[in-house]
Amino acid sequence: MRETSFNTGKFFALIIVAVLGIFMISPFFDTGSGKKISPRLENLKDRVSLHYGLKNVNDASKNIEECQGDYYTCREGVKCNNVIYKETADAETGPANLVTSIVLDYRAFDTLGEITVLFISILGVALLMTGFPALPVKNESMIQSAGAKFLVPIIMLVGIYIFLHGHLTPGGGFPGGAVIATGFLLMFMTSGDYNFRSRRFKTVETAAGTIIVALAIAGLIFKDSFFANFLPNGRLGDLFSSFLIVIIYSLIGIKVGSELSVGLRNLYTGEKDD
Amino acid sequence: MIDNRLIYVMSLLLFLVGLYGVLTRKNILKMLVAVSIMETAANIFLIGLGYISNSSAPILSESLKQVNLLGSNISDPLPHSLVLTAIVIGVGTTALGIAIAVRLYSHYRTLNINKMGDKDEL
Repeated sequence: MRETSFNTGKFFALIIVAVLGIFMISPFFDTGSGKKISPRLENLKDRVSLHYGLKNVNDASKNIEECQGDYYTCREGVKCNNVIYKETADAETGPANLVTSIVLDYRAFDTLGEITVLFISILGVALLMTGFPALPVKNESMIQSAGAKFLVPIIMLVGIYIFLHGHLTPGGGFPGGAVIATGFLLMFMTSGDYNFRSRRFKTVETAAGTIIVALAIAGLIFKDSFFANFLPNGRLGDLFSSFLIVIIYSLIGIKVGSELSVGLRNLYTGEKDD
Repeated sequence: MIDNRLIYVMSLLLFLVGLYGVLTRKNILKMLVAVSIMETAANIFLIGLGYISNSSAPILSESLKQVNLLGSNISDPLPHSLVLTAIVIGVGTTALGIAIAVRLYSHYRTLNINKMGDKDEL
């Protein structure tokens, strides 16, 4: 292998970055006569996403199928009954957080793929760390162990709060699971007293994943589509509303938390060869 | 009032910073940091596509009782959900990259990519 001079490498990197930057940024300042980025997009009314906010996606898609034309001309016939916080009951989807209503209702299949990708990457971590020599856990200071005992329950509680309120506030299963995994990391780093077995985490994770897929297939049986919402939605904005989404988000939180805990454990001490 | 083009240009500049880091750094962990910067830039670009002037987050609450039928009080929720997916996948790829870096370090006893491959296997 030839050692290139450090400055030469930086020079060529700068040239590549500059050329790519000119190509990427120039379309925004183009003064040609072609079609430009539409100024209509400055309003949600001119985007398809308005129907996620008004929760009338089914009506809108039916209407557009019937009149078979341009979206902007066909949308006039869509009936709009606006949803109001703490008043509307039994809307098309339950959550007050519109992002959650997309992630777990309209595009729930996408989320299933996302969980699968995370599972496969953590599986890859476990495979790479198999047979890696386990590092001895260092003796920690008293402050570290006492602080962990004090902090870990609070961290777990915050994680559970985040994924239980995923349909009302920012957050949800993935951030909640990451917070829970942080609590477990603190426990791994402090002491050897805790008797951790990766197998238990894997059991919890597998059970959660299986129940998610079972709920999705239940939607296929009770209603007409995969991941269909077959439980009552309740009043918009209540804690006890949109039951299916709360259940699935809690399961995702448990799954992601145990999965990331196993991944961090593997990176810290290595995976034991069974 | 922010011009959307400002957000696009800033995110593209951040992407180029990450690309420069990937091209010039020799340490594997620093390369992973640069890849994370590129991911963040792509996420900011997508969020910027969903931004609407003078709008708030797409979450109904006591202060935001309903979505305006003229569609001017919330930002577009669709890019937010796509970015949620992208962030989770970014976590997965970073974890895999760190695992590979750990194995490489245990094999070659160095994180510098120029000094790897001195052993007889490669």
